[in-house]
Amino acid sequence: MLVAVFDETIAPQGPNETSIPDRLQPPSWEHLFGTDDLGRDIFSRVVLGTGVSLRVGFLAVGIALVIGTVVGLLAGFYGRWVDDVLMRFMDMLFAFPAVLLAIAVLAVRGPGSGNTALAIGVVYIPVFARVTRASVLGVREEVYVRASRSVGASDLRLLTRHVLPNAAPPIIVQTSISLAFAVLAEAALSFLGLGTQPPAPSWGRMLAEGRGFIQDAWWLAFFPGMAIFLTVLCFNLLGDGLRDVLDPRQRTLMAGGGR
Amino acid sequence: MSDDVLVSARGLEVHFPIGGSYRKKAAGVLRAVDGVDLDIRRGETLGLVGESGCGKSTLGNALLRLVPTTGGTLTFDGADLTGLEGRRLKELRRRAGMVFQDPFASLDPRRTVAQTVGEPLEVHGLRKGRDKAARVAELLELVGLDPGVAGRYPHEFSGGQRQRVGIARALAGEPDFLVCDEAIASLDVSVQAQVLNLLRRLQRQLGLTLLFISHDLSAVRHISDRIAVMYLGRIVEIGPAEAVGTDPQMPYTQALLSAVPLPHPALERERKRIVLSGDVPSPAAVPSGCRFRTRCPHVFEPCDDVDPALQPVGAPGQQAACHLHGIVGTPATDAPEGITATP
Repeated sequence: MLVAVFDETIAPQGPNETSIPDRLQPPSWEHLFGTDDLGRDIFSRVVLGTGVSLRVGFLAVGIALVIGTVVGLLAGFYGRWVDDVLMRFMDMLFAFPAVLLAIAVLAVRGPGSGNTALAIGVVYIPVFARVTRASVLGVREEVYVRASRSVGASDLRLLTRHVLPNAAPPIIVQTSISLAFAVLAEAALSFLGLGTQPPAPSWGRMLAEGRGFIQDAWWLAFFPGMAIFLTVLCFNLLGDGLRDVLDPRQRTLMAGGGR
Repeated sequence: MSDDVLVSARGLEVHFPIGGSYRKKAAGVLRAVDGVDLDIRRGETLGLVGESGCGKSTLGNALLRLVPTTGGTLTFDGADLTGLEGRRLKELRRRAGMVFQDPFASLDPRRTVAQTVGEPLEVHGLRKGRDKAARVAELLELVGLDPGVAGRYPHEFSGGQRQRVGIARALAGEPDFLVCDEAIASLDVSVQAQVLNLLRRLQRQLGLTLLFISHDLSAVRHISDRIAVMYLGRIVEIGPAEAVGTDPQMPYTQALLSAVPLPHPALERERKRIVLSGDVPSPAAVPSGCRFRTRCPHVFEPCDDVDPALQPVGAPGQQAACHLHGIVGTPATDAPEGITATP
């Protein structure tokens, strides 16, 4: 995250600065992660790619999270025909292979990182809708929801104050997993030439481009791959941590342990 | 106690479809509450007893419109409740509160005591800001909790304390009517007495009308002015607590009472128990005629055919639905000729 903010300062060299004589250099002190086939500094590109990848990832998951959660809440809470209509529509989205659906969205909207985010977001809406709905189905039967209704709380209040917070843990975990997958999906789409357009640095595309040189210059694919791996790992740990922090029971346990 | 009726049900029915959905026709009907006539007088405590699954809780929920009724009428302070919606339903829920059975399930684990108790105040726009905090503190004190606990979460409390929080929430809107649905059943015995006494004190102090639902007969006798006995979705006996508790007129009540242990060993040895055979019939297949006839030790001919209505017997104000006191009721549809029934 910090890397994304300070990208311009950290990067020792412009991401698109080419230096043909220095092409395909292995990692050294001069080029920490080596250079690629056009002599660009991989370290600089990985650092600058952080911003691109994370932006697309966050935007995509944001879209999926907001729409999917609202759909899941309504479907799970009201049940009956609301559930049927919304979830069948989600099934329709779900039925398309993810990449095909994303390609379809991009074909209509044209490539670019904004549209990539939108496409990935659309693909993940049904995932969030399902996770939310499943969780809501359990929570809505809780006595405290009925208790709150018994003192006159409106549906909106029940949904936002009681159902959503108590149904949130699986959604938070899903968010962290999806962030990881969104980064990968962005990579896949960029590889297909539909995502982030060259020459902007993107981990996925660097990975794809490095694929051709894997025998001779492992660092081309290795470092962007490591960056993806670390990011995905961080998001997962972050999700776990968030879930624990947001649970008042866990919080007291931790405070009690510290005393 | 006055004769002024606060809550009144006439022929109240709550039927649940079995196995169906909104698209598919139900395979059967579960008669959880099946024709209940009940008047709860302003300021009284009415105890409602019966076995598990007899519809006590469903009746309590129906009175607050927490489950939809499928038939009959229901009035609260003279106003019709069936079909009430929007703002007027909300107003009902301010004037009538509910204390739930399980204090571990009825408090939202993610909300502090102050948020839980303050919710009715927010919902109904009764108090804001500092006033609200003051009112929450006042409510906590009223139920015997330290106002300093307002910022804590439910899991930090014992069962009895949680139940006090639940009572404080129910009282926040200054209700006239409180339904206590097995409010002490899941507490330790020593705590049960405390909460019971708290409820009795609050009832007197605030002039509440209380519907106390329980399967614990001694607790009900301790707190109630009147007792209603429910069996398979119907009230089968109702009357002053003293009369129902010492001289029950309906065989089912007699059997229930005979199951209560006595405190003295000599008396306990002498105690005659009426042990009922068989199980409660399923509310999905209610017997014709008297619904208790499949287990009644005194069953005789009319019980098969005539559904008994409540009739005055025993002490003043006591009513029982039993043919032993005269055949009164509605004949079953296939009733043979010759049995005359008065509606």
